[in-house]
Amino acid sequence: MELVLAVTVGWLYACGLYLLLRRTLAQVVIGLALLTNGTNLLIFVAAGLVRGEPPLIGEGEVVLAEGTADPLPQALILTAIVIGFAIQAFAMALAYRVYRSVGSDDIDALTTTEPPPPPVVMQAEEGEA
Amino acid sequence: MNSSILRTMARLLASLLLLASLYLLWRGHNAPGGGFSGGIMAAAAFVLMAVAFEPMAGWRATRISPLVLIPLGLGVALGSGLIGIVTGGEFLAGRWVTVDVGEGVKVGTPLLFDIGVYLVVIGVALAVIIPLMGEEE
Amino acid sequence: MLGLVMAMGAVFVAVPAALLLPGRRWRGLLLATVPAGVFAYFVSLLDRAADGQPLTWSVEWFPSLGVELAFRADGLALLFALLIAGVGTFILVYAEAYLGGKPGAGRLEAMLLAFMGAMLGVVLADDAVTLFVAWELTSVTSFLLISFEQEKLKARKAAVQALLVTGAGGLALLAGLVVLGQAAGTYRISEMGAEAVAGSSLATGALVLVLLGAFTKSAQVPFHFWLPGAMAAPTPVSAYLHSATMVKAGVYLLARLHPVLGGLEGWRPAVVSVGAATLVVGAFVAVHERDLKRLLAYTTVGALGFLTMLVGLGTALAIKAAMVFVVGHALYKGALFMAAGAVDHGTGTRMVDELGGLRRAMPWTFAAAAAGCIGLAGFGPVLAFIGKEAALEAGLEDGGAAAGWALAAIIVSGALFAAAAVVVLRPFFGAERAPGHPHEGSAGLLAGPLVLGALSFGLALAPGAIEGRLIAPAAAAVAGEPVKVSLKLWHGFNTALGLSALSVGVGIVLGFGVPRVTAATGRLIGARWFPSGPKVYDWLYYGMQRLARFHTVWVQRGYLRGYIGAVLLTFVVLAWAALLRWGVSIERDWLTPAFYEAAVAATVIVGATTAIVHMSRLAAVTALGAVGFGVAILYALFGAPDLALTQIVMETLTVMLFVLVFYRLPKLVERGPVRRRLRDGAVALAVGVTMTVLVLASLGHREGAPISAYFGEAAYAEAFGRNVVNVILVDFRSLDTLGEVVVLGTAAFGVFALLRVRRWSR
Repeated sequence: MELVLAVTVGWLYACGLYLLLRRTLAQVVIGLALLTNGTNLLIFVAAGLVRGEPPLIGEGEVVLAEGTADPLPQALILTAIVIGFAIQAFAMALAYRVYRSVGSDDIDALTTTEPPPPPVVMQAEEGEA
Repeated sequence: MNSSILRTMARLLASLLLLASLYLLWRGHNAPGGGFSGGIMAAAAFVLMAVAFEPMAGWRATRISPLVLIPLGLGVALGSGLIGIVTGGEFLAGRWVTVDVGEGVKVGTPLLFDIGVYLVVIGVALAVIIPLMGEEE
Repeated sequence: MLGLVMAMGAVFVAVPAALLLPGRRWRGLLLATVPAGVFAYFVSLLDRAADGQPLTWSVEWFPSLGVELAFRADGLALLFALLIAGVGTFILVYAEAYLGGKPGAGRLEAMLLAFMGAMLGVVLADDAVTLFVAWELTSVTSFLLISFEQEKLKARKAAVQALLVTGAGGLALLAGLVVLGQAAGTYRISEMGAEAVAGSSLATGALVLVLLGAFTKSAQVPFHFWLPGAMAAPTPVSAYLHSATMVKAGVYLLARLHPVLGGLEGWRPAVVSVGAATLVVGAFVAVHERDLKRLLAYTTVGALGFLTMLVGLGTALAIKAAMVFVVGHALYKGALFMAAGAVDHGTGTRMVDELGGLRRAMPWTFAAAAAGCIGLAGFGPVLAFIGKEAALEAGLEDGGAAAGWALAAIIVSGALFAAAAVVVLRPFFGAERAPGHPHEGSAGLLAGPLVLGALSFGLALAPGAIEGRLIAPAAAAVAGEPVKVSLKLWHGFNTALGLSALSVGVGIVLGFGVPRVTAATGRLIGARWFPSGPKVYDWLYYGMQRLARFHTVWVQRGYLRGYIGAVLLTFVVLAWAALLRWGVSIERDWLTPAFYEAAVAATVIVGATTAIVHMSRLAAVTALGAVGFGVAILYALFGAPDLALTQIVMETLTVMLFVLVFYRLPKLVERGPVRRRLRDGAVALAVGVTMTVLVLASLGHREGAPISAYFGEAAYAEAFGRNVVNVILVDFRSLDTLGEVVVLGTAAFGVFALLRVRRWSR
């Protein structure tokens, strides 16, 4: 199963990054969503898979039983999910705003808003021997 | 979606979701749940209201503006941390009291902290979604 | 003990006073009392230094690095400190008179005082890092002083040039001092041992870096060009920084570190050759200059070369000569610069060819200039002459190859300096000629040059006043052992005197024929192809800007995909380099996938594929939903109900968001040629494969016990919670969670601001 999920993670990354390299704003945002899922799954798989034993301490017990899933990566991923949501929301709002301001969803149309640097002016040298 | 059935159902569903979210928040310490999942579920309840009626309805249903909920939640979380300092420990140190209900329930600052998280998550989700719903073409 | 710090503090305290006091004539006098008092204080310390018990003061600065704020007033430090405070006293009076009530005068005096404090810090510092900090402060204040007339392009350019050259040298010096401190095992300069440094493998590196710092600061060839450029500063600045004090910081540093580094093999050839070259180049270019200040600047370059050469020789006699000449040079060159300023002030020009017969209209200026020129020529009853004679004797006595070159350089440059002195005096003779009506300067303008000029004579005639108390302790500090010093103006007829007389005689004859004699050589150094310092500097300076532009145009192309692609390819290359270097061991102790598990994973894969293949917004959102819910189910299957719960709710909201936004964005279109899609696909696939391998590799590499065991044990016992994930979030790692919620809140306000929806924020 690890192999299957590792391939899944790799494929999520490949698809997400391919979309991130597109010129269309919406595709970039979708790519970001795929990357978020891919990264969360990456942490989850890399920590080791345990089938069906959540890290809960059973009634009447004091310590976490052997063989349960590792709680720490789960805590990390839990916050990552929520933050990923905020990032996606931000990216979407940004994409929408850009589209409204520029009138295009082509990322290449944005490069012209930054003017090229002014040319270097060669100053007349003063005669200093 | 101008259907009165939907509206009635939405009201009912939203209330149930809200109750469920509070339950998740409460039991989070001992079973799956907690501030993050509870908060998101509560936000879903308000979004449902916004879908069924109009965006503003979802916004108003929180009573306290989501933009206020965010700093409020942060304040609650920070406050729970300050209790640790005030009682002579470190910032965010856990402090507990046992409430005599049934077999005795321990209530502590981590729950307060989780409530802060819950409020922030509701505020964030609503502040992000509802304005987008309301944006005019 | 605290006196040293208070002396420097007093100078810095005077800085705001200079800015606040009204621009009256007495302001200069009042401010001058500060360096005058400091001067008197340093005089009182001389006896302690001569007795070998210098005053010290130190306080911990970075204890973990062994760095202190430490000061020490030994003979060498006091000699320079007295020059700084003494010349500084007259400079402040002179500056007030020179700028005569112009609005910027207070600012100039404030900057002069700030510089003075920094310079005192350099010479009194006993800690390498303290020295460096003060050293950089002098570079910065010098920058401000050169660019004093900031509305002039030339002043700004010269200031930047001086800052870049001395700043680059300062960086080398910092590295050099740190290396030196490591080699010596201490940052206390007075405690550094020559044996420890010589025995260290770092010695050569330290030497080269320190020399770079000293050579740039003291305008040694090939870094000399910034000093004539710095003449764009007002004359008080030139007279103070660029003749008497700051440029001597490099010489001071060489002298200060001579006991530590002087024994190294490379010291003598490197320092003597650079010094000799600077001496000759400076003197040679000086006679070609027609502008009084630039002429004096080049003779200063030469004099700095002379001092460097003497410290490089390092014999007791050479060191003695250097110490005498430091004082002698400060006196005559200070007088000359101030006299040149008075000429400029009185006539409106500094070009020698436009001036003549000034001795009648400006008799006092003439007297000061004449006194200075005797020092410049180095022949007569002046202190500089004693120094030069001692240097010649040192060269004759030594007999080594380096000393031979040094001797030749002194004789050649002696002639050129004499010629330069003739050129300087020319404007005072002949028919009266000047662009305006020449008039004598005020008392404030004349006091400085006359007193310095007189001292140049007085100390030569009564050398007993300084030989035992000032020169001997300073020379001892440089030599690292006691040096017997007895100064005499008249040594009788000997070889040194003969050589000196010969070279000065030739020089005076040369001086009278200057414009004609130098015509051909002037064309040579003015030629287009001649690689002069400013040309090389400009070439580097503008070359750097062109390189930056080239870099910006070719690397910073402004395409997001370009940047992302570069990051990704770097990642793939580095990851594989590490994997191949340390090997990949993939453990195959895997769970057998159940049918439903594989089906969920397949759903995720199909969803992701749909998202990249289908150009329909609805398909994209549906595919995203499939991926999100699929991942949620995977969480649920593998023991993470909390994650599954959160992910499901979150995914619902995300899909909703996508529908809301995509509905407002235009239809998806594929842009760019197929070739680019294939290329991007290849890059993305390479990263994907790398990630897969990394996941499998990390599963096989388990080192150390996971810290989760602690959380599992303590969750219920100490934090009274059975859901360990939640306990980690709200108790064990709650500070992290707090940070994350703050990020969430910030993002939400960011979205809100982006959408600019006012009507929602009630």
